[in-house]
Amino acid sequence: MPLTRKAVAFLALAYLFIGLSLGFREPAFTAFVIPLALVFFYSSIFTHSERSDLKIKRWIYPPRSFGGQSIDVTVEVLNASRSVIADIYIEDQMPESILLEAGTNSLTMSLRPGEVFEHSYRISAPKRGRYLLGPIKVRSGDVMGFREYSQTIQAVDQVTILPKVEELGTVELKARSVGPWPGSVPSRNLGAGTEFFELRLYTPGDELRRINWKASAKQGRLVTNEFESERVTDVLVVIDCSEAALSRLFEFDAAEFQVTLAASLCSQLILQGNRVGLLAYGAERTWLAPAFGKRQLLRLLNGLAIVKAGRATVPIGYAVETIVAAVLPARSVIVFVSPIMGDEILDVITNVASAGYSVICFTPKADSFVKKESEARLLARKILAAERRINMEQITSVAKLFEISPQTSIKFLLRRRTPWKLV
Amino acid sequence: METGVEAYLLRWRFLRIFAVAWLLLSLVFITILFPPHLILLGILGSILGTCIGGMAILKGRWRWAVISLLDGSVMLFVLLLTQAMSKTVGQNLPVTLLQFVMLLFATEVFAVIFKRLDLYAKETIQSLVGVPIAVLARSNEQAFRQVARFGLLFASFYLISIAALYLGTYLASITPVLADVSLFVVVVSISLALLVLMRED
Repeated sequence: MPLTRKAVAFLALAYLFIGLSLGFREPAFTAFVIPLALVFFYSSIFTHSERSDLKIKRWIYPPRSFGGQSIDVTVEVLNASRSVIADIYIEDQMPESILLEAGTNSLTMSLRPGEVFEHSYRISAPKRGRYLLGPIKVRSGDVMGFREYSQTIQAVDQVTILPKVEELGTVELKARSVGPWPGSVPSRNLGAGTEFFELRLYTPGDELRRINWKASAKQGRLVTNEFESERVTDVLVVIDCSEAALSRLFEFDAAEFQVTLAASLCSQLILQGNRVGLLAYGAERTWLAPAFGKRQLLRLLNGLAIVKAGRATVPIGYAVETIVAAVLPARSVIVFVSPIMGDEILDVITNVASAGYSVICFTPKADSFVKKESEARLLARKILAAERRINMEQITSVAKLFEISPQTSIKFLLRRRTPWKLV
Repeated sequence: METGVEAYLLRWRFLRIFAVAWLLLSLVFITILFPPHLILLGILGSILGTCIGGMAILKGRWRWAVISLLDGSVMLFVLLLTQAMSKTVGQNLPVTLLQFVMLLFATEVFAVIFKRLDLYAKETIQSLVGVPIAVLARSNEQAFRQVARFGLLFASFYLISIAALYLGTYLASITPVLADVSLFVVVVSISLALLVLMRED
């Protein structure tokens, strides 16, 4: 164990007194060394020499959160050594972005052999993402604090803050290809559904409630309603958070807004029974093959939790077309959540649409230029906005485009079902 | 806030007040022995040391605490120098040794308090979750026990030092060869301490 500054100071003091004694030829000065020597002696005698054997466990509740929710962390420390550990300093290290809401993540304690000590603290809801709590820094020493031993216990736990999910209500999709399972996407085939498809003559065995009495009265014979069957489809949600996409055109955090939108869409599409996949394009690229169910929703949200806006390493065209070809059945639905900046995204959307996929685009609404800015910056923003509008106009010819503002409810905008049009 | 917490906070406050009071006592004790022409310096040093120590405890700044303890050390050093000039160190040794041990004890009390300061921070106390009341109780108990132990320890160290001095003086009067016995004792004890200190863990 290395000596602490305190030990060095005490030793220096002892030698100072010896020096004074010699300098002034006064032996009485050496008397002051006796208490110091005794302190050192006591410290050496009553110090356990073995490494502090600590067993540390941590519980996090909830381990997964949707944000806006505080997280309780409990750390259990067991002194597995055979001696008392005096004044042990324990610090549960955490990222700077996480703030303490209650309690403390570091404290000094003494532990008897075999003693278990439990300590809790609360961290405030951090931003969406994946955080690591730990490792745990432990500092222990002797009774007088003359020697110190530091160790880092690799007890690392993960906390995932999932993106916020908004309730959207039914999202109506039109797909050219549907799966065999019942769902909410019109299949252009007869079957059990809610949308009227055609009339046909009554055949024995038809349900009475399906008889169209008005048509029957007109035709003078029983006529039955036929419905369009509704099935599920495969959807790939593509979220574009690349650096090129996140220009200064948006006054708000466009990446966060897009993640929330993508999470809400994934959740709703899964709830409607569809197989949903994800491709997150940004500083970190993630993709998930389409699948059903709540587990898939959790995987999707986990994938969205770690989306980082920034420079991507491969072109978006390559990323999207490779994933689409690998995991998405032909003529399925692709939902783009993108600011539609630059030509690349335009090419991608045009390519996939021309390959037979149904494409829906969601894009954040850029603010009008109200801020006081230099003329050059204002002009640059106007050029960017104009380029974006041209892109948007071109996209409307191959896909449905929805421009969504963070101030307005996504649910409300989708209900209106009014795709973006150039005014 | 629960009543238990209030009680522990009260005890904690008492400990902090005790630390400042002990520092004041030590400094005043040193000032008393100052020669008359330096008494003003002693008073000034005492006031300054106590104020800085008090502020350190109040604000939780260890550096300030170190400054206040250094202030005490400087005062003791000045006192020892004046005594050395007038060749009265040996004469006043039991008292100056007591002052020195009191300062050492004050250092330990400050250390005990500052190790636990995080736990007693206002923000921590106001937002206690679940277990920390038990933690507070443990910490409180341990702090008091440690201060008491250090008190006993330094008192015994003082007594041992005095006993060693008197023994040295007594032995020197019997056998003049051992006139420098105190120095001998010191050198031996320091060497022993260093040996133990530097041993392999």
